[in-house]
Amino acid sequence: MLAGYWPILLFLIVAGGIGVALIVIGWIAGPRRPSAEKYSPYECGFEAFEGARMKFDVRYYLIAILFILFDLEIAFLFPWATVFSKIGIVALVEMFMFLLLLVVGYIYIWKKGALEWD
Amino acid sequence: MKRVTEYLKSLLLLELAAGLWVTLKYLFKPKYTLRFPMETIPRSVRFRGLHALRRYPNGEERCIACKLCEAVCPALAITIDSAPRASDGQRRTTRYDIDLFKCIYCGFCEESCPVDSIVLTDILEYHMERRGENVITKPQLLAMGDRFEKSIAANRAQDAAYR
Amino acid sequence: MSMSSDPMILLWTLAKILVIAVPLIIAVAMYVWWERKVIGWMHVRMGPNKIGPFGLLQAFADVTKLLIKEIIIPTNANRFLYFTAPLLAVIPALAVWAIIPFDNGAVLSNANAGVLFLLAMTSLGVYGIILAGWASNSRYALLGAMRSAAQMISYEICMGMALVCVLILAGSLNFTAIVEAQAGGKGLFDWFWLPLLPMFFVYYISGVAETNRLPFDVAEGESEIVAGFHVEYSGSAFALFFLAEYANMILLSFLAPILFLGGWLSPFQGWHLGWFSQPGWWWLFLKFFIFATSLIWLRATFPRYRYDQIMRLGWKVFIPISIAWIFVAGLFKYFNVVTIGH
Repeated sequence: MLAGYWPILLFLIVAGGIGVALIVIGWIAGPRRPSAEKYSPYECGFEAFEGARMKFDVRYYLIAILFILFDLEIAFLFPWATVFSKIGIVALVEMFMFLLLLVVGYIYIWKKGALEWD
Repeated sequence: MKRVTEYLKSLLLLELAAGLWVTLKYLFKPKYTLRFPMETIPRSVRFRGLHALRRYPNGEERCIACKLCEAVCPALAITIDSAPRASDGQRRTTRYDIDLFKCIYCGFCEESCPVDSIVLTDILEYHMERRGENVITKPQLLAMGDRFEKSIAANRAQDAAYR
Repeated sequence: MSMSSDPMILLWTLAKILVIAVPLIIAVAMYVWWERKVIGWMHVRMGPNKIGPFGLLQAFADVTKLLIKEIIIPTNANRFLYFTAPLLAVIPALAVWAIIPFDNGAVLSNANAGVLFLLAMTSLGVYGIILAGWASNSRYALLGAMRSAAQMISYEICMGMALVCVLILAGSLNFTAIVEAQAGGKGLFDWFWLPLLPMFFVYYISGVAETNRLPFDVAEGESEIVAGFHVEYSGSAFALFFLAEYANMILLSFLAPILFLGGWLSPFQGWHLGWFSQPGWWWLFLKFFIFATSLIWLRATFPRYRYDQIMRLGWKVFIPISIAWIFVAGLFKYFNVVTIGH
């Protein structure tokens, strides 16, 4: 069962090898002439006011939470979709009920304004 | 009704399709690019490029150090010193410098010259590699004149009827 | 795992991996060249034409230049994560090709859960971006990473739902089976784009957004946040991000035909046109070429979207359409509206 997957693992290792090799080549082939200005964080020419570890908008967290909800739902849908034709009407009705619940939640977050971006 | 048609239009992405059609048309248009070192645009005989000092056909330099060009130059790019020539006592320039960074290529020096000595050639491909090379001196200018006398003369002859 | 212990099979698989990975990297270089050429033509310019015939070697010259540039590590950066991020971007972008079939049977690993692996790998790409933004400890990089991550996860939902619709019709998580399910006597009208037409567009546009391409490239937005998450990267570390981005674009151009346009099947299958009705890898590559060029075409045509418009499109337009079409696809399947396979 799992025998078909080890080439994938090998490919992951090879891909990692290609990535590391490119960085190492660049590290060896490139020059290294340190200067304080060059190694300072980019800020359109002037010196950075403060660090980049700043607060940012809560909407990004909201989007991330919603993403987890919807992505989980898709993860549920995958096996359902695969065996759909074998189960028949039960699968159809049950998953439609599940989706309907999700749609209710979706309408709720829309009305709550969680999807607004300004 | 208008809102319905507007909605249908935006749903069918008609404007986006129109934009894509424009870029598709431009894809097949002939390109304007000129592959510069290999191809050049035709250059006018009046083109005002790099400077040169001309000579008479017998090899005598034309410039008589009248300093009209130095006086007329709006950018003060020309510097001239003069002295009697040792061999025959004629007044000649001992120094004739043009600062190419100051020069605005207006052509007044050429217009003012009574003996058609200083001219602007049609050469525009030149560069400096070191500091100070922007000031070109009398020997360099004379060498330019010697080297391109043929094309300078031809351009002047072609333009003579309109002057 | 018993097979992997045999060194010959291991070497053979390694050779097959290189046969996929090396042309992929060359394809990225050629794609960059083709992109610059097409955009040049659309701007009534010529594009690169100096290095090699038609400028074909331009991309290789650029790669060489990137490799011999200094890799700058900003003083405030977290050095370990700073170098992990490009690796995290490039490893999934390359490894995902393990399950992409190029022809019937021409696939490295004909895994049963191919679509799941695809989703896993494309999701991992987000980590590379967000780590790059955080580890560089620069404001522009962080802003770009946050924008980019939020945009990518938003559109991943739509992509996932489009995949679910395909899975409902095909009834398999295996890419070869998905393509074979689109075979039939009506040629291109048997493909999934017809019953899933809205999802086809949703998938394509989400894919453009997912790869951070114009008109959805707010993550890079040169005029606003300079280069976004990779503003602090230079040299070969930047080259890895570049490689990952273009490999993902090529992946999108392969997946859209495989999922919706019959993969290597001929559009004239069953029309009795002789050679033209035969399936073959050339059909897949032709479809790939058309999609890859269309991405360039979009870039040359459209201005950048505003960020709130992007989020609105993803959350308020595509997700309702996707959910609705899952219902429709389920009904299609249940009432056998769509014929599957031969």
